[in-house]
Amino acid sequence: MLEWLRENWVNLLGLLSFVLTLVGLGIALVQVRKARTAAEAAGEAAKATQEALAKSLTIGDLKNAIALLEKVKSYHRADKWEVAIEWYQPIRAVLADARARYPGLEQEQTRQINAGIAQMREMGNVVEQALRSGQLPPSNVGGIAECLNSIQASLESLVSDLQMTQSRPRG
Amino acid sequence: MANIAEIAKLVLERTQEGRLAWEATAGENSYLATLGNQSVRISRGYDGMESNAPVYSLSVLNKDGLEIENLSTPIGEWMKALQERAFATPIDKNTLPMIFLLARRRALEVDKELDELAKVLSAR
Repeated sequence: MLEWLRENWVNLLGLLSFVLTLVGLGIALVQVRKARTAAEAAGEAAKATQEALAKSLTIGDLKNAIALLEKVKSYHRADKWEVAIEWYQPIRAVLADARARYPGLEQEQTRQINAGIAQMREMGNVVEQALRSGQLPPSNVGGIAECLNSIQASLESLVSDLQMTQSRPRG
Repeated sequence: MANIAEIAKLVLERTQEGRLAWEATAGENSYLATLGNQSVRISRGYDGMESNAPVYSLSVLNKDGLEIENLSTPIGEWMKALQERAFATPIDKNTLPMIFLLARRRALEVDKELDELAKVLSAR
């Protein structure tokens, strides 16, 4: 046995070295895999955080638009049309921000925001025309109030939808 | 490439199928349906001539609510000819009034209201 070892120790060392190399390679592969998984997980976490942040900013914008609509309603009720009309454009801008900030909005949610923007522009045209012609309040005051309420209700339902899914990952 | 005359035909078809959610707007006799990034608005005005004939107008609005295209019922044959030449599409004179009528009924939920009224009247 000793004789055999003495004659083959070089081969044995070679074999041992080969085995150790394989083990080392295996360990390195496991490490690389772990590192990749960790990097992927970190990337996914960063993406999820970014998405949650964007969603919460959109919710903030929508709540801001709802508050501005409330303000506009009070100006309308007080017959302060010149003041009210100054707020139509900012409301449209806030809604456009809400739409742009969170790309994860569903088609119907985007549609709701777009409808709000279009309705606000219509309202602006009507009030502007009434202001220009000196016919205030506009003849369709009831319709305007109804329209504002409808936009507000739609945005409130959108906020509620987004808040419900806030802690739930999209997919 | 689609043009406004073709859009009008499609809007009428989808409205007849009940697939467009028309809503009243701040404007009198003006109704809006938003689909994705665009909205369509149908409205009725009057030509202000002696007969004060109704003029129907269909507009396409972009995602910011800006009017980007418009088609109105022609006032006079010359305008009809001009429109047909511009859009290379024959325009049925009833398309826009039909859209208006149906959009108004949908926005004001006329059928639902009439059903309710019929129930109340029947119960009396």
